[in-house]
Amino acid sequence: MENTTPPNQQRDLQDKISLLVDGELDRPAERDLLKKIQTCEETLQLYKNQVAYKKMVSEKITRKCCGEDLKEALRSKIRGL
Amino acid sequence: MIAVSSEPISNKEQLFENELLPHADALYNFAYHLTYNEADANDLVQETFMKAFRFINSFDSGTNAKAWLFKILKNGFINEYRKKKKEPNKVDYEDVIAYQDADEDSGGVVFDLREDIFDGMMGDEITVALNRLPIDFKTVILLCDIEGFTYEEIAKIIDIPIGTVRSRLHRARNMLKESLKEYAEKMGYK
Repeated sequence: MENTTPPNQQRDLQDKISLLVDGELDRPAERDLLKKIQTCEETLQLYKNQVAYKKMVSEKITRKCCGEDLKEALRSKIRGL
Repeated sequence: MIAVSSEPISNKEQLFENELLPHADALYNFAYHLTYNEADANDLVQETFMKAFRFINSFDSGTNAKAWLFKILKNGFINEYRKKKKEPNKVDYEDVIAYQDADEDSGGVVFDLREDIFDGMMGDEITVALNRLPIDFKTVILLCDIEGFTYEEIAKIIDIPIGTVRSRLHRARNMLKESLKEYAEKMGYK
């Protein structure tokens, strides 16, 4: 899809979309942006990209757990204090 | 019945068990991605919990224990661990800040990848790309995109203004996407 928005405005738009997806936009700005997402294909695509990015990072990055041994070691340490 | 003289300690232990220890896995995951080493992550998490327990009287039950623990861990990592290790592949903290501030002034670059490219990515590639990022950029992605902290909480955890959290996150995500672009091209995406 060809971008029709000038680069500086596109950065602002991408910033706002990130804020929306992160849950950091205030209500009026959120309402305005959601309206734009419904009516502008380019904005909709940027929104979909950002949602996919967040999903990818939260679901696919390897998560490590400490396991019960570390928790038990910590319990023993604080009991010994 | 004899009164239990150790009751205050028991309360502390109860608080530790109920409000702090449930965050051990999240803290370990954060520590692992900061150090990229299981033993170091283990040490960092233990140090964090011991510091938290030492200062548990200053912790208000019901407040944001997770953010408090993450702040202690991040301070421990920055102030002690990295000074000891002096890892050659890690970018110096001050250099990163200078770089990041310069980036803010430049107006930044818009960089994006299509949603279908993210869907096709493998977890290992994304993890490697994340771990290649300079530590301060990796940190904001871990705190926001993996742990779900708000910008305000992130600002408090890493002691920077909210505006800087926002711009650093923007830059960090662009860096991660740029790094993944090469992999996406190898996979045949254009």
